[in-house]
Amino acid sequence: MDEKQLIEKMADTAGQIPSHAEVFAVRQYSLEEIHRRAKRFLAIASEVCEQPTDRGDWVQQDNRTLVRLPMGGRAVFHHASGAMKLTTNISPMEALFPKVEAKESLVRLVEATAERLRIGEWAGARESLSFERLWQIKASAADRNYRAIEPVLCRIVGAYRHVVGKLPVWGAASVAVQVAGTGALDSVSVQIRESTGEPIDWAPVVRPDVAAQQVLTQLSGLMGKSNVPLSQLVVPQWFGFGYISLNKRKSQRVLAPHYVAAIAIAGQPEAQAYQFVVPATERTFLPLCQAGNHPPVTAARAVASKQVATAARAFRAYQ
Amino acid sequence: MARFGVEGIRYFSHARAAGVSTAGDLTYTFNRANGFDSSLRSAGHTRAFYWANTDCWETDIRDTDQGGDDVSWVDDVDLFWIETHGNHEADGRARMLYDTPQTQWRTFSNQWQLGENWNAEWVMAYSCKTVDRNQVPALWNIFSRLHIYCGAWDDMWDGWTTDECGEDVADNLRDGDTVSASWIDGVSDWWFDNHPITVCVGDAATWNNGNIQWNRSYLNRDHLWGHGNVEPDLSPAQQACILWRWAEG
Repeated sequence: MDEKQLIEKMADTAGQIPSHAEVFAVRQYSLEEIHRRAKRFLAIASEVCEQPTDRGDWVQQDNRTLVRLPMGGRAVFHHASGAMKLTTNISPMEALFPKVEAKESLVRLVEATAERLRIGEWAGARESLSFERLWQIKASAADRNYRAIEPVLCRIVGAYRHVVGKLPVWGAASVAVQVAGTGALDSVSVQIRESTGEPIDWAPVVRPDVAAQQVLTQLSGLMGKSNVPLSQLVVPQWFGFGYISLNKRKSQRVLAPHYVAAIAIAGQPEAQAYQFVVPATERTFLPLCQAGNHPPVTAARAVASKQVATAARAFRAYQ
Repeated sequence: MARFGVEGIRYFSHARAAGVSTAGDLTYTFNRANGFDSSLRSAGHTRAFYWANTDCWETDIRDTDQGGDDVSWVDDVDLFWIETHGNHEADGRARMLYDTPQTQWRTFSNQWQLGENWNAEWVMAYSCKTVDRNQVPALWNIFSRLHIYCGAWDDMWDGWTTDECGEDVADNLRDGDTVSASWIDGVSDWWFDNHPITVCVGDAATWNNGNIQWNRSYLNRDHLWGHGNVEPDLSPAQQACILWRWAEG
C-alpha cells in the first residue's frame, strides 16, 4: 500500500462527513459552581452507595478539591474542567464476581447502575450520553509449575460517550461507571464538557483525506529517517470525526470539530501506538499543544556519576 | 515516605541511525513523567533521580550480578517509572529500547533481579507489550523481593488523551489507592485501548492449592509508602505463585 492508498483508506473509515459543523462554547464553572455540582454529585452517589457522603473532609489543593468521605472513600473535583470522580472503599481484590459472566448481562448490570446514578443529568440541552464500551478487569495466577487458574472477574467498567448535537465528543470516557461483583458501585467518573447550548459558529469542514494527510505528516515527523517506507509500517486502527474534550486538568473554551486518528506500527521489533488529532476546520478554534513537554533540567549524566554512586553505596555498605 | 526514580525516553534518533530499530519518537513522554514526578514530590516523596533520553541506560535496571548497575539506580529506589518503547520476546521475556548503547541498546527482563538486598518494591513501565499474558511466569525471575511490576499486555498509546497518565497514577497513589489499582485506573482513559497489567508474586497461603486467597496478595494490599499498608517482602524461597491483574475492553 502506498501513501495515497493509505490516505484513501483512512478517509474512507471516517464515515459520512458533513460539509459544515457547529462550534459551541463550553460552559465554564466558577469554584463555587464546581463545589455546588460536587455536592449534587455526592448526594446522588450517596443514594446508590447507601453510604453518607455529606460529612466529608473537604481539602482544596492546587488544581482540584479532594473530599475524604466518612466511610473511607473519596471524591476528586478538577477545577479546570469540572471533572468529577468518586471512589468507594472496596479493596480491588474483594467483592469479585462469582464467575466470568456473559457480556450482555454485565452490560445490563452496569447500565442499571448508571441509571441509578442518573448520569444523563450531567449532559446539557441538545446533548446526550450513550453507552460506548464495556471494560473488564480480571485476574489470574499460576504456581511454580506454571499451572494457571481460570481468570476471575474483578470489576466491570461501563464507558459512556457524550454527544453534542449529532457529533460525539472524543476523549477520555465522558462517564465511566465501575461496578464490583456484588453489584456495588466501585467508582464513577464524569468528564463532560457541557456546551452553552447555542452554536457560536457554523464552520466549513475540511475533507477527511486532507486531514489524513496531516496525520501522516505528523507521524512522518515522529518516525524520522528509516530504511523502511512509512506506508509499510503503518496500520491505521481508527479515524474518527467529532468534537474533542481535552484532559481533565485542562480548561477548554470551545467544542470544535476535529479528526482523531489511531495508528499502530506493526511487524517491527518495537510495538508502537500513536494517537493524533487535527482540526477539521480551516480556522483554528481550539489551539492544541502538540509539542509535548520537556524533562526537567538536571545535570548531564556522565559515566563518572554512575561510578560515584556505586562508590558511595560501597562506602555506605562498608560503614 | 518513598524514594522514586524516573527515566523517560522521547527521542530514538540514535537507535534509528544505528539501524537498531525503526522506533519512532514519542510526543508525551515527559508530560507523563513530569506529572508523575511533580505529583509525588508535592506529596513529600523524594526523587532520587530523573534521567531523560540518552541519559537513560539499560544498565540501570540490569542486575549487578549480570554486569548491570541496578544497585545504584532501579534497585536503589522504592518506586521506578520508565517510559520507552517495549515488547516481549517469544519466550515471554520483557524487552525495552534505549537510545544509547550503555552497554546494550535493549534491556531484557531475564537480566533483571529486583528487590534483592536493596530497595525496589514497584516498577512501572509505560511501554507496549512488556508482559505476554500467555506467559506471565516468564517474568518470575525479576521478583527478588520486588512486590509488583506494572506494565502492559498489548499497546500503550502515546497521544493527547494519555498525556496525564503519569499524574493520574501518582495522584491515585497519594490518595490512598493500592499500587495495582493506581496503575490500572491511572493509565486507563476508558476510551483508548491501553492494556495495563500488574504482576506480583504470592506465598503458599495465597496460592492455597489453586483456591487463591486474593485478599492476601500484593494486588490487594500494597500501597505506596506513607499512604497505606505495605506488605512485607517475599524472598524467592517464600514465593509459591505469580498473580496478575489486567484490564481488557
